[in-house]
Amino acid sequence: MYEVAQAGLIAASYRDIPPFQVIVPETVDEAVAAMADAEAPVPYAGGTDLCGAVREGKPVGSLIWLKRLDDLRGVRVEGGTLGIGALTTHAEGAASDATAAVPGLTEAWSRLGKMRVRLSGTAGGNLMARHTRYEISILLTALGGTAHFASAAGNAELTPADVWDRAEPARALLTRLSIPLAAGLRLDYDRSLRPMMTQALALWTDGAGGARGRAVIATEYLRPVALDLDLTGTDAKGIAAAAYEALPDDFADPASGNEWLHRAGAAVLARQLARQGAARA
Amino acid sequence: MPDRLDPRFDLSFTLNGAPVETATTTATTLADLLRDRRDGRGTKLACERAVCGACTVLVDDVPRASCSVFAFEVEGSAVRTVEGLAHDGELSPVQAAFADNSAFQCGFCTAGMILLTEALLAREPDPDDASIRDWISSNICRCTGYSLVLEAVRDAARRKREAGQ
Repeated sequence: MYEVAQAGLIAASYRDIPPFQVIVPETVDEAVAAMADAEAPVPYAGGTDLCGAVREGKPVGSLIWLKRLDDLRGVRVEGGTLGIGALTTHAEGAASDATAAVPGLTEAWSRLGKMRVRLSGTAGGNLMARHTRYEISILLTALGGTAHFASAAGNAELTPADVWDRAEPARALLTRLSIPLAAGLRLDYDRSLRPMMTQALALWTDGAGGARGRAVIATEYLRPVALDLDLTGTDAKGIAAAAYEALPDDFADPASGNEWLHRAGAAVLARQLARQGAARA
Repeated sequence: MPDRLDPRFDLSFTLNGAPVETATTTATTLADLLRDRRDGRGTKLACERAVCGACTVLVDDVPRASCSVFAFEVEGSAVRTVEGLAHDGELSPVQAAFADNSAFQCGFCTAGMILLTEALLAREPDPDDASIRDWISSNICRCTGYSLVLEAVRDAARRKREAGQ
């Protein structure tokens, strides 16, 4: 007999979530210890996602509620890097003066999510949710940024691709994101075709005519793919077309085939290059 | 040692200015607590995925989708729902603006829209249209097409300014 509840078409009710223990650490060290010792620990930050994830089957034995870890909030320029605390909300990040250290990042960050989400959702939660439609991973990949984890087994620094591959140590806690700063670094993030695709363009210019760039394309259903740009030419369409030759043939999703993403991505990239003055339209 | 909450625990917060102490579980959502334990049926449940915003309440003046907020999160916090806006039988300026501008049809999203507007106007007493659109796009209405909602928010801002609020 056909059972609706067994067909996977209806998610469990919130009322079916079994109660769990909540641990509220005061320090990062306490949080790391709790992650190591607690039963099936799940870190909890902005609280915009976890209810839904649990409803979809994510097991929670202990919730490690991070709300008191003020050390993990805020954006700071630290030496040659931009450091972003994992608990920094999107609203806080977009409003921080330090974010302007990467031109274009404030504008990009201020577009993520709706206001209700921006006020609570965090940079770290956005990355660790590993939802393809979430966008911190796209920006971090374009900017050559990394994610820093702390665990009882030691610390680790991972690329966003590593995070997608779940390469962090077991029971690790994301503490911050970092972006290496460089003179001439700037970001252009185009969401005009979202949700079909979005594209981040990072450019590094050295002031002596040298430049390099990286484009990152992502869709609602696909994790980001980075394309390195050869900026020795001056024609934006030519640079974009050459970069898109490296787009993997299997980069396609149920909404957009590889051919469409190839053409649309290259067109958007040409527009971004021209907008940033990196090439002629 | 970090604090711990057992799966069943006692929760304290204020609801529309009144202290609340209640036993609950860590898995209980704020929406369920408000609706089932505090008779707060003005908080509506629709998508139950934190997307539509019909269940929006204010937690320490921050708009939250109560369907996806665990009740334990409001320990020690001030929670405001639509039931707490009117005083002595008189609608708040935002409620009155929504009513006078017919900014609803079925009304299911209205409580969430009103609380979102309260949060916006607390931060920006005179928001421009771009800001209003930015905030209101947090919530979904499937009836009105939003134009009347935008007019109501503009009107609410004017009424609050005139009332010195």
